[in-house]
Amino acid sequence: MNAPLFAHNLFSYNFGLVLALMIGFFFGFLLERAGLGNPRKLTAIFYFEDFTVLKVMFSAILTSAVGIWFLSKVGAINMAEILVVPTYIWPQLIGGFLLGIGFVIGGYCPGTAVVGMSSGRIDAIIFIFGLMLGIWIFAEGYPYLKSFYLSGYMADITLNKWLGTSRGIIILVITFLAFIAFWASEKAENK
Amino acid sequence: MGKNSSNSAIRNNYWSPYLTGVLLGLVLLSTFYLMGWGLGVSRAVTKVTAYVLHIPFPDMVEKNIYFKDYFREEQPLKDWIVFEVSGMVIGGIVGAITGRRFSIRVERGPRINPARRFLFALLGGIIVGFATRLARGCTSGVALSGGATLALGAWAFVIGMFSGGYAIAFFVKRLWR
Repeated sequence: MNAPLFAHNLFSYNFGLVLALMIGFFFGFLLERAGLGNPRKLTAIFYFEDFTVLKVMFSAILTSAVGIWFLSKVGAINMAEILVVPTYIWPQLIGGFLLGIGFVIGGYCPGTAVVGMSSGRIDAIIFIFGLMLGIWIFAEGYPYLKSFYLSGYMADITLNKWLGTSRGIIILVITFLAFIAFWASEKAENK
Repeated sequence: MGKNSSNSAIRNNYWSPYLTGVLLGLVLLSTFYLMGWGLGVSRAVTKVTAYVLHIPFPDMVEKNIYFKDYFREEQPLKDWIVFEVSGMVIGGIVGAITGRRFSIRVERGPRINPARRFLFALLGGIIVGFATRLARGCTSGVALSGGATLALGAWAFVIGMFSGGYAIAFFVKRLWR
């Protein structure tokens, strides 16, 4: 068990930065290849016309979830050293809701805006400028938002811990639901 | 699929979403294996925002209790997530050029002029920027990276995001359709 490699000092911080550039390269390249730098394609899911967002997102989540599960099962990766996004249930639910609204109005989420900008879209640059303004507004309003921002804290809780079952079962259920969603997407697109 | 669709403009030569999704999942998995954390974007935008604001308003940024975790005097941009997003820019450019999709343009729906598109891009950006700070991340950092580790809050975020999108879509249909 020697992974994550960085946590076991198997390479330096600066080499980590080189890896960051490479990882980002593939991330941006793949988003572009899927067409996710295009806000017309990104928003089409909300008009039931093109479900690329859902297909890419769930294929990626599943692949990674299965991989993490497998690597921890065979003892190649130490789960205790893998970052689990801390749960603050209310701000995450409401933050997600607001992000969905802004996504349809503006045409992007942050990562796809970066790729939209990289493929020459001026509207993506304006969206990113908007992101910075929104972040600034949050930072200025933080004293008033703090109590909500910290509400619903449940530490590193996962779906399996929450439901009192195993990681494998949850992944199986998500896989099943994802395939139903993929099937329904294909149906809707071919109408 | 797509061949007899009226929306051929948004389906031009893109890779299969399933294949791209699996490859993206492998990139995410490699990131966890190498670093111990996943992908992200909005954290980098926050760091750049603090850095840019610090130029005209150093006092404001240094005294802001939220920005204090995102700004440091020494080499403020020498940071993992900022490098990762820089890589994304290069990857996006290479993808667009090699896919013959690179062109300077304003992407918009058929019924909206560029000036209005800019206005709504700005408004949407402000809402999303604010939302990412509330949720502690965006589609990359929370939905993808959190979702893959089965974090409860990440799945709440995903449900919120699709609910918000579908709730507003009808009212802003003129922007895209």
